[in-house]
Formats: sequence, C-alpha cells, structure tokens
Amino acid sequence: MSQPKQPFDGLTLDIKHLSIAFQTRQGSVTVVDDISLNIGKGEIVGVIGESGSGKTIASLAVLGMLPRGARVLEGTVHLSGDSLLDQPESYQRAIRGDRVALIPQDALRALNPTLQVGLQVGEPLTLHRGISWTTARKKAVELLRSVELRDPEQRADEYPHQFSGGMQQRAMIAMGLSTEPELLIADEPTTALDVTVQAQVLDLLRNIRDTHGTSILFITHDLGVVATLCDRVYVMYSGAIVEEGPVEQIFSNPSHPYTRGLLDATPRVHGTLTGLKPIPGQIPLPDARPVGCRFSDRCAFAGAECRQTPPAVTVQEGHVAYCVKALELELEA
Amino acid sequence: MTLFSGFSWIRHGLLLLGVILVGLVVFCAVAASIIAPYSPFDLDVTLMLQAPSAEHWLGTDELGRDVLSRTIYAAQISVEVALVAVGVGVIGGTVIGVLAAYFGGFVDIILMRLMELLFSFPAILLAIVLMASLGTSILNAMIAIGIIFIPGFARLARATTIEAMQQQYIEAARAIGMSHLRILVREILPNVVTPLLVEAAVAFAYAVLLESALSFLGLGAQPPDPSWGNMLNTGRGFMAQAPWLSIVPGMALFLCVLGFNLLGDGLRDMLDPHLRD
Amino acid sequence: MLRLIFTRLALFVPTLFAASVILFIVINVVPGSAARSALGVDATPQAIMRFEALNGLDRPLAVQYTEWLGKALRGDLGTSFQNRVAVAPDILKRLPVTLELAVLAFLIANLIALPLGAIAAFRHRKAADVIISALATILGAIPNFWLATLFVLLFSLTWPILPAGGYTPFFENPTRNIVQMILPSLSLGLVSSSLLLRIMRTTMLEVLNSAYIRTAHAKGAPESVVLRRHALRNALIPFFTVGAVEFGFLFGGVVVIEDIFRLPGIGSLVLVGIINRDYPVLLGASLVITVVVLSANMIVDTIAMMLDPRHTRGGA
Repeated sequence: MSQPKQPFDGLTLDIKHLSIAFQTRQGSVTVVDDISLNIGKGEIVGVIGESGSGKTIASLAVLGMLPRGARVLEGTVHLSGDSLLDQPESYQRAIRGDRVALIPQDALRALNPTLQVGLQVGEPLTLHRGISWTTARKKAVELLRSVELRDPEQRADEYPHQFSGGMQQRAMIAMGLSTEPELLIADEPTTALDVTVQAQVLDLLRNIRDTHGTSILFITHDLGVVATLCDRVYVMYSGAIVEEGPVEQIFSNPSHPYTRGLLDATPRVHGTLTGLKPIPGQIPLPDARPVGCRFSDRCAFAGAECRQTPPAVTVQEGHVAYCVKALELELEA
Repeated sequence: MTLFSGFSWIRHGLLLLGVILVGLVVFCAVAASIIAPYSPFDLDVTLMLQAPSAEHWLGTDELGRDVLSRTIYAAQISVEVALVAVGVGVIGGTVIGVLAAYFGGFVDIILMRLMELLFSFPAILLAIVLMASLGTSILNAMIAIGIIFIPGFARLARATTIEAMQQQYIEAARAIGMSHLRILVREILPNVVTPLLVEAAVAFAYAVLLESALSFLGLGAQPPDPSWGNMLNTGRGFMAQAPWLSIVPGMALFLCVLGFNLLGDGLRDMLDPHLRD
Repeated sequence: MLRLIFTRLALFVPTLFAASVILFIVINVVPGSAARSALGVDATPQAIMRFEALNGLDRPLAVQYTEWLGKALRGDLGTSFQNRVAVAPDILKRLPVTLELAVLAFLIANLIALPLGAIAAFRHRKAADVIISALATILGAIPNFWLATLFVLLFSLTWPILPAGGYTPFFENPTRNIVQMILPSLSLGLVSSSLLLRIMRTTMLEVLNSAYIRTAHAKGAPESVVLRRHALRNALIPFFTVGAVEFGFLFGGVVVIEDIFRLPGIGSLVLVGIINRDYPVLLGASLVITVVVLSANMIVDTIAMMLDPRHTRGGA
C-alpha cells in the first residue's frame, strides 16, 4: 500500500492544522480548532488543559479512534513520516497497539475483568507479531517484571480485580510497551492514583523513555505532573493551543493570561498557599465561544484588540504564546 | 436502555401508536354497546360459522353470534381485568414495599423474602393454584392476577422509597416531629408514583395476556361472556371450518398487548431521564 | 468454586421448603372445597365428612402439611381423589415430556436472542438495530397460545407439513418425536426470545461502551476479536443473571402449550388437577414445576457466576 510520506525530519509525531468537529442535530461543533503539535524522538510532551479543552479528542484522532459523530475537518497527522489520517481502517488498526499505544486514565475500567492480566498484556504481540498465546504470556511476565511488578509470574495469571490501582496502571503500561511502540499516548494515567503511587508511575514512564527512546504524549490537567515529567508543554484552552514551549520557560515566564491563571490556581511545592487564585468563570461551550481570542471573556487583560484572532507571538526560541498582548503585558510576577 | 434507543422519531411514533391502540381498546370497552353492530349474545343457529360477509364483517361463531361484536365487547373484560388486577397489584405492592423500606430490618427481610419467593413461581401456575382455592370465575382471575403483580410493585416501591428516604427533607420532616403515617403519605408516596405508573402500563399488558391465557384454558371468563381468550378457545374446535374464529380475537389481543407495551416503553423514556440516550 | 455451588444449594433448600408451604396453604386453605369438588355439589354433609376423614382433610392444616411433607420427602405425593392413582409415578412419567419442551424452547429462545441482541447492539442506530428491535417488540406482544394456534392453522391445516399435536417418546421414535415437538417448542421459544433479546441488546450495548473495549480497539484488535474475546463473555454474565428469571416465565407457558398440542406433560396435569379439583394432583404437579424452575434458575445463575472471575477468584 502506498502511503503519503513526508520527508522524515526526526519527529515521531507531527500534527499540523488539525481541526475536528462533532456532527450534532444543531449542526457542526468544532471541538479541536487548528492545532499543530509535534513530538521529537525520545521526547516527553505534555498537553495540559481543563476537561472540555479538546486534548483527549485530539489524541484519539492520532489513534484513528474518534467517537461516533466526530470527524476530522482538516489537517494532517504523521507518525515518523507516515500519514495517519484518511487511511483505511485496516491500516490504522495495524498502527494502533503496535507503533502507537494508549495508556488510559482509569486502569481498572480499561482492563477486561474476565481475562487474565498476562493474556491482556501479551495480546498486542499476538495481534501484531503473530506469536502464540504461550509465547505471549511468557513475554507478558517479562514485561510485567520490567514495569517493576512483584511476583510477575504469579500475577500474570490473576484477574484485574485482584490488582491494586497502581498495579493495574503498571499492567496497562506493560501492555503499551509490549510492541515497543514509537509513541505512547498517556491520557491522565495518574489521576486515579494516590500521590506516592503517582510518583512511581511517573518515574517508570521517564525510565521507559530513557531506556527505549520512546516518545510520550502526556495528557493531563495537572501542572505539577507536567513540571516533573515533561520536556515541552502545549497549553490547550477550548479546543485551541494558547501557549507552547519548554517546561521551564512556561513555568518561569508564562506569557498567556490563561497559563498564568493556571499557575496561580495550582499550589506549588515551594510556594505558599496564600496566593491561590482560581480563574473566574468557566470554559465556554464550543458553540458559545467569544469572537477572536476565546479566553477573552475570562481574561483580566482583555481589550478591544482581543476581538481579532490572536497572533502567534514568539516569546523566546521555541516558546510561543497566542495572545496579542503576550509581549506588552508584564506577566512575570 | 430501551429498544430503538437513539431513534427519537421512531420512539415518538411508537408512543403515539401505543396511545392510539390503547385508546382504541378503551373506546371499544366503553362504547361497545354503541359501536357493536349486533348483540354479542344473540344466537341464530341458521347463521352458524358463516365466513366474513357484508352483514357480518368478521363472520359468525358456532352459535351464529357476530364475531366483530363479540370481539368489541371482549375489550370490556380485558380492560376491566387489567384495571382490577393492576389495582390490586399496585395497592398491595405499594403497601408492602413502602412498609418494608420504611421500617427496614426484620420487617424488610421477611416481607421481601416472601415477595422474592412469589416472584420465582411461574406466573400462570401461581394464578392457577390461586384459582384452585378461590374458584374459577372472572372475578377470581382478576384477584389472582393482581396477587401475581404484588411482588413486582413491592420491589419497585421499596427501592423508590429507600431512595426518597435518603433525601434531606425526610430528615427534616422527622426532625420537626411529623408522624410516621404523615411522612409516608405526604413526603414519600409522591416520589413513588412516577415509576409505578410506568410499571403499571407494562403490567396492564401482562394482565391482559394472563387473563386471556386463563380464559383460553377455561379458567377465566365463562361462556357466554365474550373474552378474547375464551373465543380463541372455542375457535380451536373449528379451525378447519372457521379459521377466522382463531384469527380475529388473537389479533385484537395482540394489538391490545402491543399498545400497552408501547405505551409503557414510551412513558419510561419520557419520565426517566436516566434511560435517555 | 465448590463453595460457590454449596452456597447456592444451601439457599435452594429453604426456598423450596417455603415454596411448598405456600403451595400447600393456597391449595388447601378453603375447608371442604376439595370434598365438594370430588363428590359434587349435592353431596350430603355425611358424605363430605366421610370423604374428609378418609383423606385426612379434617385435621389441622399444620398436621396435614407435616404428613404430606414427610411422604413427599420419601417420594410419595399421595393419590388422586379422582381415580385413586398414585400421583408421583404419574408425574415421573410426564416429566420428560415437559422437560423436553422447556429445554427445546429455552434453546430456541437463546439461539434467537443471543445473536440478534448482539447484532442489534453492535449495529446500534443502524438499520439492523431497527429491524431487530421491531421484531422484539412484535414477538413480545404475541400471546404464545395464539402463535401456537396460528402455527397449527398454517402448518397443519392450510399447508399440512407438521402434526398439530400428539407425543411420541424420543427413544421410541426420535424423528417422530422431534417432528411433533417443532411447533410446540417454536411457539414457546419465539415468544420467550423477546425479553431475552432485549436483555442481550442492553447488556451488549453497555459492554461495547466500556473502557476495556476501547482498550481492545487501541491495541489494534479487529472487530471480530473485540467481540469474541472481549465483549461476549462480559455481556453473557449479566445476560445469564437476568435471563435466569426468564426461565420461570417460559415455564409458565408450558401449561398452555401442552394443552394446545395435547402433550401428556406436567402442565396438562396441572390443568387436569384444577378442572377436577383434584388437589393431590394439582399440588404434586405444581410442586414439581416449582422444583424444576428453581433448579433451572440456580443452574443458570451459577453458570453466570462461574463465567465471572470476580466471583470465583478472591481479591488481591
């Protein structure tokens, strides 16, 4: 099969001008609006945003698993140079679980309750490598050991309900790693876990990147997690990217009022709790976004110029904010 | 999740169809003496087993009675049985369910175990056994069918009552010193009514089915009173000569049950937002 | 696993005991009615007293029940008022007929409900879903005895390819037996499939919307694997749990269907018992039907539990 190739520039994932809409009875509602995002080999990139910002839908488009009613309007998605959109289902299926793996939010729900964990972990290998179930189970035990699960031999024959929350998430990660994919999409994998287990899972993900060179797309609403794990971060708001850049840059010099608001609303390890300020108002529904900058109705700095589509303002090399006032506002406290 | 979930226009259409069918049955029952072309009891041996014709649209039976008229009159018995049986079931079930939920503990365990047990008997067997002690008559059929409905309504009433009792206002009512009875009647019953209505529509369909089955076996409506069940029973003896005797009352029965089922499904969709897609 | 089955059995015995008490009380609660039915309305009071003394009906209900239970446990269900024939052997002779009818009907109901329910869920909001849902709605409103009547009209009279009734034991003539059972089991099974189909469709829809099905898709599993390996078992667990109740519903239809097709089973014995007011016969037949229904419930329920590792395997 011939696939449209683009010159491979070392990017594992390259999303360009992606727009996704839901078809409803009232008409089409754009939930992801012209986003461009890339991940280099071995890079951990965070996508941060509140629920409803479109971050999960965008990741499902990469997997070719958009929910019923959702449609890609325009844009391209390339995985190591291979186009993923407008491909037949069989092609997308061959990519899914092999070259791209998903680590979902709620591991207990994401595991089949009636199938032994070992078989579930080894299943991608039987699907994509054509190996037997016996071999797959053996591989699964090794994979479970590699994600630091104790007694993997015995655990492989157990069922998900016999696992703790942290163990379930480790099993999901082992499943994702089984085919040594180029890209892991982790969709809030730590939200359901308590803090110590959360830290262990983040360590595990970092180790995986360090040893296998796996690229990771990390979707979260938790700035703290982004700070400890990611190299770069994209901030999404209401279906669009509002700011992007290296993590240190974003944290030290947030140049979009929304990012600034997020930072102010997050308790920092070294900061005091006195300065916590929630952003007033709430994320607008896709069909009720303000004209121009979609954050303008909640923004303390908004003026008449915000009625226009916000320009991309380069704050520093690799650090871009989509705000007309990004430079003139002294945002850094 | 009901059938046809995701097709709101089909569901609305079916609810409308249900309303029309039920309306038709109720209209036949109420206005039978006006719309029926003949008396359902008039015998005429010269007209025995006549095929459908201009005078007798749906033919005549083995005693020369007009099948259309008897089918229309039979709606009376079906509606009457369904009303009484569902009434017995709703009242009995609600009393038991609400008491079990309200007092809890030992009362709850005993009552609900008993209900569970009644529920595990095949319905028609329970009806037959009940009629063994009550005697075979249409009134006893109504009561027997009503008793069969008690466990279902009791379970529903209990669940709804428990849910309602966890609401804050019950605590408040207790705190201001309202009596047990007053709390039950004023605060809890209104919350139980809506789901009961849905269940009642479905029970109506089932009551009509059970009555016709009992009458078909000769245990319900007794000749010469027309019931779809006993008309079908008679038809069995004349299948070769007069197939309309086996087709017409069955079709009426089918449409009636279909109507109540569709009405029940439609009401459930409308009243219970959980089930919406 | 064994403990699971034992727990079910431990629950079964008291349920059966309570069921027998209810049946006994309901049937015997009206005093004198048995004698009057057996002897006719113009029986003299002396004749009634003699009849009751002879059959032990003049003693308190509790005493009568204890005696009846003692005998029943030894396999003696009394003798018929009508013809003085022992009830238990008669029931034993009829049991295979009823069991064959019920099992065939249950199989037919499941063979229709499982695939069609799964397809409707899988093709949710598509044409197939609408057609199957319409079929379920229609089947759910057809009385089984009317369907049986129509079948006889169609396949025995108009187009005579199948017998309208009668029964030949399977081991006497298997072909004849099956041919005779087609219409009875089809009438019962088709009507009963409606509710099972609804249940299958609902549980399958819930399963298909679950996160582990999304995981299976994310692994790159083709639809057939997703359905077979991940969806089916998880849908069958609630299906069997709810479907167990349906067996009782189906079994109720046995009484009517046996009557229509003149099958000499327990259902027709119930009818004989009520029409003749032959209480030992009615009680015995009802009790055996109840035992069969409760056992079937238990078996199906146990299968559902055995399919579910959350029941058979302990926690972490």
